[in-house]
Amino acid sequence: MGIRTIHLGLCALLAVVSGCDRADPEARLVSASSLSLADGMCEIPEVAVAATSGSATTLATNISVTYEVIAGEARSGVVFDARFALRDAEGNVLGAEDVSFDFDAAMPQHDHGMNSKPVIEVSADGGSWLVRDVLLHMPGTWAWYADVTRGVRTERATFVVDVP
Amino acid sequence: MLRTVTLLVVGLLSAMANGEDVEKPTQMFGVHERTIFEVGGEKLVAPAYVSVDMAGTIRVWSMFNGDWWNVSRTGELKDSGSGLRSPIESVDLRQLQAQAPDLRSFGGFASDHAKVLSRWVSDPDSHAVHYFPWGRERVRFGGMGSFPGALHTPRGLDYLGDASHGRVFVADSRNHRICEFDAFTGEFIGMWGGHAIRPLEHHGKLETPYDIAIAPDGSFAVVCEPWEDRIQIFRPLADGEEPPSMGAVTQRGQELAAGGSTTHFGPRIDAGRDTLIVWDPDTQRVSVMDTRGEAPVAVTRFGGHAAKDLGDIKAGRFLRIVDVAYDDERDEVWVLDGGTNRLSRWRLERDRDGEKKFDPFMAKLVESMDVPGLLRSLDLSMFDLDWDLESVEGRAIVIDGGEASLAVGGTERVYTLTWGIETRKVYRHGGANVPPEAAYDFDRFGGVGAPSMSDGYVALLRTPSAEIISVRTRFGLHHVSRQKLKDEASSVDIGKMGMGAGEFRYPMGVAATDRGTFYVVDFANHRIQELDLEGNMVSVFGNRFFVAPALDDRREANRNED
Repeated sequence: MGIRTIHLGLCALLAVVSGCDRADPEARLVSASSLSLADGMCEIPEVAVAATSGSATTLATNISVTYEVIAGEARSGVVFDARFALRDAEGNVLGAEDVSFDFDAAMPQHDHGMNSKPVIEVSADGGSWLVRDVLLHMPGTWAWYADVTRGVRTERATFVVDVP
Repeated sequence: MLRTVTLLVVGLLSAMANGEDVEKPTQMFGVHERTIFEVGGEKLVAPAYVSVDMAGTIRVWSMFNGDWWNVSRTGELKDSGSGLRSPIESVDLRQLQAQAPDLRSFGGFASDHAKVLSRWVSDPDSHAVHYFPWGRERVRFGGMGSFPGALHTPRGLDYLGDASHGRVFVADSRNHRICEFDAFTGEFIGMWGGHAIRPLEHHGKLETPYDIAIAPDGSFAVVCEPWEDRIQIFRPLADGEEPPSMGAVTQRGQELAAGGSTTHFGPRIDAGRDTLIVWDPDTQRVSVMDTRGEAPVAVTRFGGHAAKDLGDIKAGRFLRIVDVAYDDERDEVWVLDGGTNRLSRWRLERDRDGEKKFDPFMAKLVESMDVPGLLRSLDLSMFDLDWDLESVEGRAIVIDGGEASLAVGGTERVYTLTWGIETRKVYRHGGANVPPEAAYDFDRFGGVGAPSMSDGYVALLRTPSAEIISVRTRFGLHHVSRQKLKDEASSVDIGKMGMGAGEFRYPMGVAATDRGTFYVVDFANHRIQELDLEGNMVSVFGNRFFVAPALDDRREANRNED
């Protein structure tokens, strides 16, 4: 805890000195992937950064799945909500009329999943899904599973996410 | 729920007001009396179902062939025969499911002595016992786990009591114990047995107990363990007698810490040039083994039990794996699950030529398909199908030519349902319009879906001289047979019953390597052996006691011991 705090503080200080505009607390709402070295001088220890967005593709028919954390933070012990959107291999939006969607998360190296069950809702426009009340109870590497079902077939996009 | 609680509180207050002691029922059985391996000079073979009549005679049925034995409590044979239906064959699962839609499968059945007022049914897939009182709402108890009161794959059960008070005894098979519950409330009372970690270990320890029967007068209990070829007799605790300790054997980690091994393997496996696919029926996890070294090393595992998610089963979890298959070309694993009736495909994202290391994220779920739904979507009218489209029980997966087939075994025909990403074909083997490759499959896999007492599983093995050898496990006969393809005269038996190198107890799944060797699931010895065509053991993994000297004297342990 102490080391993490020092890392965050040091990084924030370096970010201010170097002019990085992501030094404010809101920077944590920026995609973890966008905080790469190639993007600038802001090297934040990866484990300290809560993921805020990401994308992955199903292996069967290449459905693109993107997520964005819209409330809370994807940190251990912190409840958060995320929005998931889908596009088929041709780039067409897949909505609730086309497919059904499910979400799960697990830590494969520890043989466990979540201790609570998130609520999955279709967005008002039917074009995305809101996964509410996600609670990851342990820091470390999690696998987030986005399952997309069409007819008798379910296919999966897997996100490997480091949760601080 | 509120009403139930209110009734309980009112009952409790009423009892206290009357000065009565409200005592929790205590564990009734648990003292080992005797182990019976043979009766009348004949070995018990896979005893799986048991009952005790009013005179105290024990009737035991074999799992395989309808053989039965009438035995006294002390092990004397009274009578024996073959062909009787076991008690559970008379139960109509669908009729029960009409009352309890969450009843997923059927493991055992018990009724009160009136045979009509109350019935108890165990459900191995949801790890629960369902109590059906006459004219009242069903009560469900148990639930998956190893803690007291939880169950893991419950099977046979029996009732002891009268029409209003009694307890139900459950063969908690994958927890390797017997659990006692209040028959009418489902309250947990006690448990006994505990895991027989070493093969053939007994004296009250249990290995996958399949059924239990209680003498109507409550004087003894009988537990069947088919894979150990034995029954064990237990007596009730005397007044003030403490239940025998189950030790630290109810938790897997504690078993390992105690120097034991709890390895179990599912009956079917598959292999490729550098990979072996196995699975664990306790956890419903599939393990991928790298076979490039002297002994297979696990490099990933995936799946896991879906029971905790009942009602909301996730696509990547399993209830009861039926078969696995490995696509060497695509480095993909197929899993057929009989509990969910789903077929799933997993891609291994790895460098096959790289360093061997365990990666829990290696296996990615590609797709999971609802098999009955898939079958319903096909035009099957051209086939005279005689199998249940709603279940994958007894099916096998075959990977051939980069496509997966669902093979259905029968006595006369084998069907395969084959599909790729876009193609879906159905072959019926043994007709004028059968494609040659399907006929080839028939020769290759005939009977695979319907193993009998002597016919087990088959694999084809290519020798260094490019000769094709068929290797078939004969699990009821405890050996393996090999022969040149379509040349029965060349058949040679390999191995015999035992626990040493190259010996077997209920050999099941078999898979060939490209080194001229083959793997065999040595099921009741809890291990997998790799053998050459002469029967020499090349490698082994699983139970660490496979050649332990301490067990040498148990190889011939098929004798009765008090």
